[in-house]
Amino acid sequence: MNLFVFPRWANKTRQIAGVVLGVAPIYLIGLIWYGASPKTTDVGYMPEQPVPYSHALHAGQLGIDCRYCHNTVEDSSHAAIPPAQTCMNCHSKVWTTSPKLAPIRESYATGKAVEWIKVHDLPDYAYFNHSAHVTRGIGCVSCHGRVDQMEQVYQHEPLSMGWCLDCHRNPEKNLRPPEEVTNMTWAPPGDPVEFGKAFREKNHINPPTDCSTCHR
Amino acid sequence: MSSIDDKAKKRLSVLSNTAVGSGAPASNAAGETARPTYWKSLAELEQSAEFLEFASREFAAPLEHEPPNSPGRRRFMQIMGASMSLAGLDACRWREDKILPLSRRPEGTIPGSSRYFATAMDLNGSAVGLFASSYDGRPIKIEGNPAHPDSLGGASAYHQATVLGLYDPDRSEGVATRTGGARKSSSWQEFSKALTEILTAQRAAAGAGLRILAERSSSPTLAEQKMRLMAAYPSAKWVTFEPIAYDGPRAGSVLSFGKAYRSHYAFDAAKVVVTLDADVVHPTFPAGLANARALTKGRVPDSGEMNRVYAIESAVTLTGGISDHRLAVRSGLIKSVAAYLDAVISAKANPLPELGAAQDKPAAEFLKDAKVAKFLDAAAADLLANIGTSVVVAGQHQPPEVHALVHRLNAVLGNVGRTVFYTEDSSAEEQSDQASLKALSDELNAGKVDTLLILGGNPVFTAPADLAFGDALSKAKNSIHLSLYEDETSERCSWHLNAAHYLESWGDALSWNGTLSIVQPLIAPLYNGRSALEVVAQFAGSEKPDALALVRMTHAFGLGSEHAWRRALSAGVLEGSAAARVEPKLKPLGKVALAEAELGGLGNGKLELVFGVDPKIVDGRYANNAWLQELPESLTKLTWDNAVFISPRTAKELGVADADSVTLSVGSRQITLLALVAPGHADGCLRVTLGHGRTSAGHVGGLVSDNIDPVGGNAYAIRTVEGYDIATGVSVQSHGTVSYRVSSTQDIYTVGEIGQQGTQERLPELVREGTLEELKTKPEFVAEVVEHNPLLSLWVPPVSYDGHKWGMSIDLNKCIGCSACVTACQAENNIPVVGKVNVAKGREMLWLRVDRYYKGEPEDAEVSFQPIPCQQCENAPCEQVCPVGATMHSHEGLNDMVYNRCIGTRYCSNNCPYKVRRFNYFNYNMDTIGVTPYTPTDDPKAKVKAMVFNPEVTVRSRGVMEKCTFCVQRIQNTKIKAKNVKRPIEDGEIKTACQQTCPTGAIVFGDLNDGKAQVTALQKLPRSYALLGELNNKPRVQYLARIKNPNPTLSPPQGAQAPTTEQG
Repeated sequence: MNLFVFPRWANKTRQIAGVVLGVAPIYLIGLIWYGASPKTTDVGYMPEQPVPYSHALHAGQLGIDCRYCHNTVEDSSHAAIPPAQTCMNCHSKVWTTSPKLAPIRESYATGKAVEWIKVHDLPDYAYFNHSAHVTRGIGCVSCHGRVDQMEQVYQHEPLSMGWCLDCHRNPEKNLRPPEEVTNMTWAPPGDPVEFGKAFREKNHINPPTDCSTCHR
Repeated sequence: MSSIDDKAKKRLSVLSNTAVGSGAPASNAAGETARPTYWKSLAELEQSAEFLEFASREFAAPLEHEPPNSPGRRRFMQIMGASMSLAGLDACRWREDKILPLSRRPEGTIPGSSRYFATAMDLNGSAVGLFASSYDGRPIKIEGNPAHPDSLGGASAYHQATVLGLYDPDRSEGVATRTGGARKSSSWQEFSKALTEILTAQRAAAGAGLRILAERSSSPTLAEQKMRLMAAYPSAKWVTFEPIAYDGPRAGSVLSFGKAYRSHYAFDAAKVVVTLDADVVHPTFPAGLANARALTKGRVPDSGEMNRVYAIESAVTLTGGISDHRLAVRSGLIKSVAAYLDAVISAKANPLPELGAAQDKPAAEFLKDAKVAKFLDAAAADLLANIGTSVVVAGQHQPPEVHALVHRLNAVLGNVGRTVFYTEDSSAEEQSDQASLKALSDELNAGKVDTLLILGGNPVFTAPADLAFGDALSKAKNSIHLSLYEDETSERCSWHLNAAHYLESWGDALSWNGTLSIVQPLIAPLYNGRSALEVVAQFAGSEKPDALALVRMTHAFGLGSEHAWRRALSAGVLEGSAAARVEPKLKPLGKVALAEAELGGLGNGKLELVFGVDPKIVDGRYANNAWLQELPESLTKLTWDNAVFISPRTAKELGVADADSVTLSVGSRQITLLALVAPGHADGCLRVTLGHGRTSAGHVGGLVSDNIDPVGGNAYAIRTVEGYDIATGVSVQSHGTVSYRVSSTQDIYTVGEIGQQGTQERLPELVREGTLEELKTKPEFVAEVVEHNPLLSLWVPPVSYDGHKWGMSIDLNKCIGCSACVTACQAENNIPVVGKVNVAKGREMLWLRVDRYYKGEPEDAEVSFQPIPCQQCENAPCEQVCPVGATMHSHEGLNDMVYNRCIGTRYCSNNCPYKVRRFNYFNYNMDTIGVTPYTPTDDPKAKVKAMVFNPEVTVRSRGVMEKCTFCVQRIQNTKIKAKNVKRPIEDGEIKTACQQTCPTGAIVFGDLNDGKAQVTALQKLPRSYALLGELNNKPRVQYLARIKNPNPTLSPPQGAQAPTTEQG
């Protein structure tokens, strides 16, 4: 007979269900919000490259300027990945037999490209221009982090649209004199925001936030 | 007061559905039927049953129940279920991208940016200088070279489309041999071996069995190699054949001067222009692009002066479209018209006695028509009043006598040396192309030809039908065909050699006036093809011909130094290399036989048929180019087809209705194709364009072996040596409506009956026209076409536009309707091709359309063109209805379209008064091209196809709305470039793709905040008006009203024609 009567403990299911149903959506939204955010999915992306090139060594210890290799950054939308020729400027003299450099020597000899893996990969419908940022005084470090300390390059910032717009709306904290853009350790004299404001005023820096600025 | 009442009544009658239900045209309050001022098609004008049925439907075609290749519902759920569960794993990171830097980067190369290189494209013996962009080493866009005399910055639709042809996957990829129809792949090495054998035999016979059949070329280096070849094989023969009409001017010049001369016209210096069946502004006319610029330069009414153009022609041409007066005369009677003009003008002009006697007044029946006589007398009087500042010009397909008469008229009128110039035609042949080809064909049939080398062209398809050239060809022991495709001719030849595209090969070419350009390759040959130059050099004895070395050798004298060579390369022209102008002595012309008696009557057997060059695919060589096939033809707006044009009266007489399937008979030869009743066409004259109906063009233009039907009907099948340019004794038999829907874009935007009446009422407000006299006496007439209350805003505009304020001005007086802008836009903005079936359903994707309106009676309708890009409204109706913010207003006034936000509600398109938004019903790039740049693929053909995309513009996918952006990628890139070096943007520095290619400069883009900008000045002109400006949507595009300069004796001045209406 008691088969069709709910046991006493069943009275609690209502409270439990209430708690679960109340909390679960918030938890799920929170989980997806966090889990699918570029901060989680993209920051820290560090693919294995065909040549274990160390920025920490070249840019950090040896102090080679970013533009020695990425020499189109001031003229073009792309900060070009250097041709094998650029590597060979030095490596025809030093480390000439290193097995790690074999792909570079092969590329130089055969003319076939080294297949580098893109780390900072924007969606195809977003058009970013390096020259527009670098010539205005946005330092490399603002978007790429301390590359001079990276053994292997990884994505330091989320590169999401919200992150882009944060700076386009308030660029002050990222502005510096254009001649200092490749300096990884540059710090503004005095208060950073005050400096940024004055610099922005002086150089008429008004980053647009129109859709067609990046999407076309 | 009463006039307002009338208008109110008229509005009411529009809204009350009474007269409409019966299918009658718009009627006013008084009940009498009024014909609309403007109309888009005959079907609309006559309110035919099909048209009304079409207009009443919500969708252009019945909707498919299922999308193509749709999986069933159950399958759909399975797939969706699977993808949902996989989505979590897949969404973490998109596809891994690779960066492939050059191993050694040449100096000055900047990855990811465009550079322009000058080159030139030779067609039918004259070249147009072009700039081709190179993006990371691949050409993606063609522009005109402003320094080139035949381009002056303009380029035609087919120039624009050659980049698509370069990456055409149907292009031939290698050498092939055929024995008895069996194809075998081969190689250039094997060909070289075979050639050595052939040439050894020929050398012994001094080349007696060697024939070369070539396209007409202007290349001096090819001429040099030809000389070398002929020196090595003195008994060989070189035959030039081009299916495009060319012989009339040559033979006419011989008749007049005893020698072939080329005619050049200074249309910008002419006050009166009379064209005799000549479409002088068409890109296929010699120096057509330059003519268009020069002729429209004299048609800027704002200074108070304008030239006057009389077009006497059979079909409505682009020149006829911009003319002030147009007379429809069948092509065979043009000779009588020329003789009549000579008789009238010579009687009054007192010509020098050495020019000989004038023609007698012809007795043709049609000249007795009061209207015709009045027209011709008025034109003659105008010519006489402008001695030395007029031009008379005849069409390419007109017989030699007409050209001779025109030479005489220009001499009598004192135009020679002022507006008409001559240069020696060094490339002229002894006889006409068709006669040369007939001689070759006879030799082939007689077995006299051992080896025939065919350099380009497609003679099996294009040769006159009575030569049966394909059969004659198979009688040669060795037939070698060099071409871009394995086409109809390749299939009949023992050897097929794959040619290099002009963007892949070195060469040289001369413009119509003889200016030298170096043809510079933009990319190494994709399939290891060779140019005609290299093949001829190989025949002439070079082991491994190097085109660059050959070209440099030819110009060792003029461009010997490295500096001079590089300058010529970078400029694209060698300055001062134009041929010297000569003043040949005119010979007296005897009486011209007119044969008018045979011409006349509209019955079967009395008709004439004019073979025209196709404005899009030329002689059929671009038949496999989907951009050109989908481009709506200027007048009929026909896509993916060709048709025979018939005048309304002739059609009625013959029982042919619009869009009927008809059989055309010339003698015993027949073809069946679509017939279109063309308003303004001459009675008794039919016109068909050549080049359609290809059976081995490729997967776009027709490939019978792969079950792909030919596009359109093949007019070459009824073209004979006798009736080469104009065939007589033609009959037409109608078979009723065609079995497929005609893919024409002219009636696509027709909405319901009420909508139609609204359209008819508004059209005079949309296309504002007037005369020079009206503009002089009452310049504000353009603005007064629409009376409306002052436009007010309820709120302060949210955007101040204090930076740039982009705007555009389109001069309807300069637009010739050639549609080059449409293809330029397609190339620049990655606009997909949708195919014939989808065009018929109204799903064309072209962002820029050129609307064409007819005006007046169908028999002699006037034509108006109006290019419609997105109007970039400040109060944009589209922006206000987008639920997801996918179309947003920029601070510079652009209506930005954000594809990645768009969810495809299509509300914006619904709310757009100009209907300029396009929706991707399918993933067209994937469905019709088979690839997008984002599709991972290892298929080499797909990779080549994807090379045509412009990387500066997003490629859209299914379910996304798109539209003209004012070429925002060009704006942004120029802005960044200027700001990087802290300089302002100069006026004219940013050119939209449509503006840059426009041969007449009708489109001007610029910053409206710049007081000195050209666009600002143009928008301030009294004849500038906004389309539907009374809606207070503040469009940024403004049009300059079309102003005609009619002869007062032909059209007496009348009151303001355009009705005024009142808007709220």
